[in-house]
Amino acid sequence: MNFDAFWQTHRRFLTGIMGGVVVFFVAEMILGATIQSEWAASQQKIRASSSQLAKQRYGASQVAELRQRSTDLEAWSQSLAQQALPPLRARFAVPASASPAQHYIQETGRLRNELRSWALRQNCEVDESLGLPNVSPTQPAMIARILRGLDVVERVVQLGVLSGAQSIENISIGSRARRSKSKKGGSLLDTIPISIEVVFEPGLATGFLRAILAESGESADGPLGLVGLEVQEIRSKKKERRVILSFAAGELPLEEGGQS
Amino acid sequence: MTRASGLDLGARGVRFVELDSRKGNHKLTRYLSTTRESGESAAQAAALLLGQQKKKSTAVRVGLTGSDVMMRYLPVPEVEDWRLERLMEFEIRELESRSGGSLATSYNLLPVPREVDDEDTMLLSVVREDLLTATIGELGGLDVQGFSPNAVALYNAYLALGDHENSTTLLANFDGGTLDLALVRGSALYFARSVSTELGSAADVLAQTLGTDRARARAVMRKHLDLRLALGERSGPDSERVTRPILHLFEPLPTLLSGVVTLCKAQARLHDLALERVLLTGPSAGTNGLAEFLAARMRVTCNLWNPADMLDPSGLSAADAAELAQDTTASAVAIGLALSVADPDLYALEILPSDARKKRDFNERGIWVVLAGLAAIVFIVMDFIVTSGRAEEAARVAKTMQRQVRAAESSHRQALDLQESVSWQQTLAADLASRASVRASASRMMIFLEAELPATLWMESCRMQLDKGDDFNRPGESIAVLEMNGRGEEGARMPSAVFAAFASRLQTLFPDGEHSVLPSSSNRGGQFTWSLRAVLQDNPSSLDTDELDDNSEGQS
Repeated sequence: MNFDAFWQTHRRFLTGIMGGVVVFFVAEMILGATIQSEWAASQQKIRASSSQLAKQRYGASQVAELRQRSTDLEAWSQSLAQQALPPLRARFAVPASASPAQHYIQETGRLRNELRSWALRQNCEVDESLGLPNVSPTQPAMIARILRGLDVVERVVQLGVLSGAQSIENISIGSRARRSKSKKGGSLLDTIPISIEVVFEPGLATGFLRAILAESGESADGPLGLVGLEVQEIRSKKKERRVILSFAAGELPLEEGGQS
Repeated sequence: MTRASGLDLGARGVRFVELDSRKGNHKLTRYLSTTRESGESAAQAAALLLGQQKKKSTAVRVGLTGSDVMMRYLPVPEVEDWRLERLMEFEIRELESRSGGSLATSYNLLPVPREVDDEDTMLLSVVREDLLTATIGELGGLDVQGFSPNAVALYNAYLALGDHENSTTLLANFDGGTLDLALVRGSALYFARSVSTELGSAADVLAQTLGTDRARARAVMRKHLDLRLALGERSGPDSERVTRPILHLFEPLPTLLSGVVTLCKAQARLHDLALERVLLTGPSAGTNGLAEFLAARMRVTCNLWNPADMLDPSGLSAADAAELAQDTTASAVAIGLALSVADPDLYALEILPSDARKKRDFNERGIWVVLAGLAAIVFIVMDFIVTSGRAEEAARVAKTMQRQVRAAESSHRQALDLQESVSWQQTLAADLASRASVRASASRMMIFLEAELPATLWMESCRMQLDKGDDFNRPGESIAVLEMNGRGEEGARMPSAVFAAFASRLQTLFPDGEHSVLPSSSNRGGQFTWSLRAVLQDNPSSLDTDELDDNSEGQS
């Protein structure tokens, strides 16, 4: 039987079979297409996830360790801050119920009068400005900064006067301090720089220095925030020795992200 | 082993044969026959007969005879089977369009040897489909395997059980008013036909002549009819009284039988035929003197032929065997029908109504297509389920892994944030430590100076401040640096040695004294001056993240 005879004899059957086969494959393709594409997509996701998981990453144990380290460092910073940063005494803090500007004026006025008068009575002349800016600040944040610096100034002036200083000059309370976020150089602390020049007769500076160092360390009022100290040579003509002190007042900053 | 059944719906009775066939050996297993009641059709009688049997029959082949079936002989070209099929389909459509009704047909090439006829002849058997449908309906629940002309059944019986004598033989099945004829030679079929005769009315004619009813007339015929009267032989007065009124009905028989040869010559185009013998069979074949009558008139040998004699009757019950013995030649067609089913090598001419043919086609071929379709659907469904399962599993795994990736990324981000925080805290702590160290260092230095500064060395100035630690091998750090300047007492002895000893003692106070304390001195014009630069602060960075950076390697 040649092909033509075979075809003619079984044409209907073969046509049916071919139709069935076509329908089968079409149905298989239609049904398989969606499932296959879903399967392929899932496989792609699995490959992508495997690739992601193969990367080196910090795990939960490292997170716990880092968290513990962060906590330890925070506690350590708190401890160091108590040694390095002068605390703000209550009367220099702006009460919540008072106007910052009014409190500033009252406190600086009182201090000018009381502290300078007391110093003069001890034969010590104190810089009239007490390091305050020529123009009174109006912004609450700036007021708080100046008052914090003034707190340190008052304590140092008292020590100077009590140590027999001739005069206390060039008091400066910096209104701004640069704060760097960088690890390299600069400080993360937003501090108020304070500098004071205390003038003594030769031979009297040592006691002042001893008092300053003691005050900075073990005083009940807490550290003064001493960051610089310069004892200059004796000026022969004036028979005086100048001690230039640098302080930094401030508080622990809030870490970016809210962590203190 | 094949079990097959044949059902002969005769003019006066029905006969049912069931036989087992194995490797050409045929064994009768059942034989049933009954006569038709008045007003009862043959199919109804068969349904009644078989319905009474406890044992259900297999699918039966039912015989067709008389005017119910038309047999046509068509010369066909010698072409491929599929062309022949197209040709016959066309022919059948033509017949249907002329008849105006549905026709059930079957056709097969006449098995005539090539040397007798150089052309092919197609035997086409045609029956009205409504007739078949009605017959099937009357047969009730009987499973009809198909229909075949009695003439073909006769031929198949001869093929399976005949002597295959190499002479032109006419097989004649007498059954009341119908006559089934098959002209054979050896195993070749030359011609087959079923015709109706006047013999069916013989009982009525005799009943009318004798003034009695048909049943009694039939009984009288069976007892006294003797066709030798037509040959001039004398018989008893009763025989003459019975035979003479109906003899004229038998007179055309020789002409009719001889005419078969003539028809065969014309329709099957077999020109050189000469009838050599006649084999009589069927319910009426045993009529007294019929064989002699036909032999005398046709001048050929006429013999009775009972195919049941050639079958193994051991499978029959005693009652069935007795019935078969009583019916003698009547069972020929039923046997031929059963053999047509049992032996696929016999001549096939099977007629079915279109519905039954479709049903059979479906059972034989369509069912496989349906099963293949079902298998394909099952495969698609299973494939869909399996693939869906794989896709769902993959999606689940992907989702799980994505969760793991998110968790890992979250942990990693947290660690990076914490690392940044730690770094920030370290910087802050280092700054605070530097600031705190200024006071501590200054205190220590003051105590040291008061205790250790030699009396011959005078300190003129000093400065302590936070400075960059680059000069002290601590780059990037803010450290407390002390600078002192002084001079030696005028006239003092070996001030440089005294200063060196002082500086050395100072260096011992610090772990890394050589790097922490940098002394220098000069002696110009008898004036000894000294300076000292020292870092007085330990490295505050006792906590760092280097260790963590190391640990992160290899973690995922």
